[in-house]
Amino acid sequence: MIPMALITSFTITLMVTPLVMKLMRKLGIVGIDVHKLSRPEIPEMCGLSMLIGLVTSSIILLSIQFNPKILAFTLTSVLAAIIGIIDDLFTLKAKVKTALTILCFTPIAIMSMIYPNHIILGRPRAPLVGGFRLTIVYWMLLPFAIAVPANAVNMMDTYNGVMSGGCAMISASLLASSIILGQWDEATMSAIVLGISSAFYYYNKYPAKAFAGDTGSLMLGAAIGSIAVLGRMEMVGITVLMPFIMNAFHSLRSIGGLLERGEISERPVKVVGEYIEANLNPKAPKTLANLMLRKGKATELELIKSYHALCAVSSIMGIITALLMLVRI
Amino acid sequence: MKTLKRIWDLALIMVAVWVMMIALIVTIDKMVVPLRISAGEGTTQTIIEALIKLMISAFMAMSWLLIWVRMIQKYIERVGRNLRGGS
Repeated sequence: MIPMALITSFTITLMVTPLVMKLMRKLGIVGIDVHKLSRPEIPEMCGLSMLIGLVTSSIILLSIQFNPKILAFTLTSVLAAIIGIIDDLFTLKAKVKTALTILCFTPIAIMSMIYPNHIILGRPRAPLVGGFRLTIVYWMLLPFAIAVPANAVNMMDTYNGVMSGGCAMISASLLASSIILGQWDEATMSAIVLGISSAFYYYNKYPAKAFAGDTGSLMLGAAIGSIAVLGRMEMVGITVLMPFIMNAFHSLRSIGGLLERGEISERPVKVVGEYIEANLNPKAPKTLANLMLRKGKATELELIKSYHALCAVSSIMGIITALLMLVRI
Repeated sequence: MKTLKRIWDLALIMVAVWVMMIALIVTIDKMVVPLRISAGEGTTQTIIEALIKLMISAFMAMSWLLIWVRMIQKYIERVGRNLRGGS
């Protein structure tokens, strides 16, 4: 199932993306690549191809053998993608978008009630201590288990290939972690996410030919969150997403919460010729780019490599976390 | 090399935060969860005990987040000092 999920999702996304790119250009749904001197127009909302790749692969897998976990994973991702589509087309307010993503946990919650033997919630596993039982607290945190990754991944989609490349590394780490922990359903889901994100990376990498838009970023974040919840691998999920969480947490903290783009007086970085510099104004959001560029200006490609290097570190840490889950002290 | 130099401190912070997260979980599991605050076994006492454990765990988690924020602040101050020293 795992190789099939990987190959199917990769092939479909690779084939569908150019068609979506053409369609978006035709519909005038384009965004400006602000970090390039020529400021080229790039088709937006191309994350739709990843949605098609994910849904088609899941339908194929479900038609071979019904699996409530894969259905919950697919429905969660589709719900997040729908919010992304609405946001891409009508630009939702930051607070409304975040509030809507909180609802993305509902397919998992409903499916866990219909299939309590398949989907076990409230019993996360942790490194060195094994499994533990959380009842009320877990249900209070569950909505954020999907909303936080979805929004954190969305906030990281600022430079060519950072989001798609980062998600490809994270899903590879989740795939390895699932195999280590014997979570075969979650390994299949991770393979789907790895397939769609790596195929989309081909078009999204520097210099980008396609932008994922909120459709793609919210969907990928929700998909990663749902894999972590369904596989009781919440700790692995937090670990692999650390650069994304770090980016979102410190930037939100520095600007004092969820604000509209127009309400943020300073940009985190400044584009000076072919270089990108950190904005040292105290009011500038402390994004990962702002923090990394404080060590000196860089070209966009150098900055993208730095992002990917951090994701590689967190992905390795994710696998170590999974290995530590097998150890009890 | 340039990439490594740029991410080195942030990667170290990330590893430190991760190690602290695991240490936090182990501490909660081994020290907070087994806590026996009262000798009684009534429902009210069980709820109070659970709430106290929850508050201790939440306080520890908040401390972990604060340490993370402080580390980033230290990083910004240190890099700023180095920049001023270099210019």
